[in-house]
Amino acid sequence: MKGLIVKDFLTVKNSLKSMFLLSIVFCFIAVVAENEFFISFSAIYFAMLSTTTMTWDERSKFNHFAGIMPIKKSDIVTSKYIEGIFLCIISVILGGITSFFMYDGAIQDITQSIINNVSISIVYQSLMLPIIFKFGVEKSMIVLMISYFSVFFITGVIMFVTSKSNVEMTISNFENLNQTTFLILNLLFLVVLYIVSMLISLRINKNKEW
Amino acid sequence: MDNIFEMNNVCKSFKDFGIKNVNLSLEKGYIMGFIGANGAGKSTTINCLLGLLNIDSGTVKIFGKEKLENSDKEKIGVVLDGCPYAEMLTIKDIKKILKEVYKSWDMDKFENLCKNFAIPENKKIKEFSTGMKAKLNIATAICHTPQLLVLDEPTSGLDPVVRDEILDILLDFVQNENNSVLISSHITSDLEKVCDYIAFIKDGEIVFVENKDEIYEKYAILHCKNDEINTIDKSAIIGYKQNSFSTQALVYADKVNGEFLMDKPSIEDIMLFYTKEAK
Repeated sequence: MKGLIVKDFLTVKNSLKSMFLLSIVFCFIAVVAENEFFISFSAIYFAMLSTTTMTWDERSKFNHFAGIMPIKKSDIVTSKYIEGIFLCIISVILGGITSFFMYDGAIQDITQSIINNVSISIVYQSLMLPIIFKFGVEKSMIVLMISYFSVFFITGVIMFVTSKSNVEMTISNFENLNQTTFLILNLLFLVVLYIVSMLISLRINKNKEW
Repeated sequence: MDNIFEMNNVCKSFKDFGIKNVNLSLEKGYIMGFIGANGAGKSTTINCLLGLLNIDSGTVKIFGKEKLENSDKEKIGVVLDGCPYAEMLTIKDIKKILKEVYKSWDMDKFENLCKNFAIPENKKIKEFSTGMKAKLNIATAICHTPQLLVLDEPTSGLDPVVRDEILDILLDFVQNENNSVLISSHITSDLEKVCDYIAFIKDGEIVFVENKDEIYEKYAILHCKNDEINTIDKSAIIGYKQNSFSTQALVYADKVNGEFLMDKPSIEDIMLFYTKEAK
């Protein structure tokens, strides 16, 4: 597995440097503009790097060749998820430092900002990686577009139906939780999501002919 | 018989193509050439052998095992179509990767080979010529001390000098009686130089697997006038081609009655005439 991780980092090393510099710029803008939105860019950029490595694997047909290398088939999947955690950590460190300056060391705000970054990174990878393992990079973009459209459509239908009925959609139960509990539940949800995503990817990859 | 690999009645079908009842095996210490027209099933057979495609039926064994462990894969060196590394990587990067992948990676051998093949260390793969990529593939295949080399068109795009170097490497490789090579190539003259056996596949089926020297005894290119071809036993003729004045036919040498001019066939001749099957 180490060979796969080394391969991926060598493949994107130049992109990693560019992403790092770009993220620093956006973090600086976030501090100056006092807008946390810009911090989230680093989470997205770094998360995208794991899918970028899959693009290069597909183009060079590396995964086909890897079938005869002394590499476990499951390592092709687990290496991507381990790399994803590294990339998440990098974006979290950047985001954390930026938040420290933005919120003048206010722990709760910094923690919330970090959790937001982690959420973006983990949710993106948890959704993208199984789709790419299943459909390949090109087709997965089409699948994603259909998924986004479906989500918006279904959300619109639900909102329309509930607005016509007397059902109140509230999140009052969540509003009553204290922030620490909410953050812990959030983290737990992300861990479970990431693990479920990895299990799905492992299952997809098991019988795949690359 | 100590076979390094065995394929028994292997079938694999796709929408509009497939390989059927492929029986192919190779003893340790020998080189087998694998020939066939484009689309005949060579790459599919090789991919099924290596477990890169799931077979529909039959059995495949390498080193006597149907399921390979990572320790077995260390002993298999492979050259497949294309270069399997991302185009922005350099030789320096590939060394770092393969050192971690293969426990038996021989860095000194790889560096020496790259030097001999004149593959620059800091150049990106996207800037490599076709020949450089082919040389890189071969270097990575042999530098982790394999016992079995499976090479799919390894010398495609290489000049005669480098092809000759590679053939010497293969001959050297099988000096160890535990080592074997399966090489598929359209450059049949290369196969004639180094192979002990020739396997021919046509339309997804193995036509023959023969000892190379026995092929030259078994087959012949017969030359005759156009009207004379009908006097020859049809079961002796494999395929023929005619022009305005004469006919050339690939025949089973021992089945031909009568006195005709017959030449020893090359492997290329055998391939060509098999595609012009006598009806």
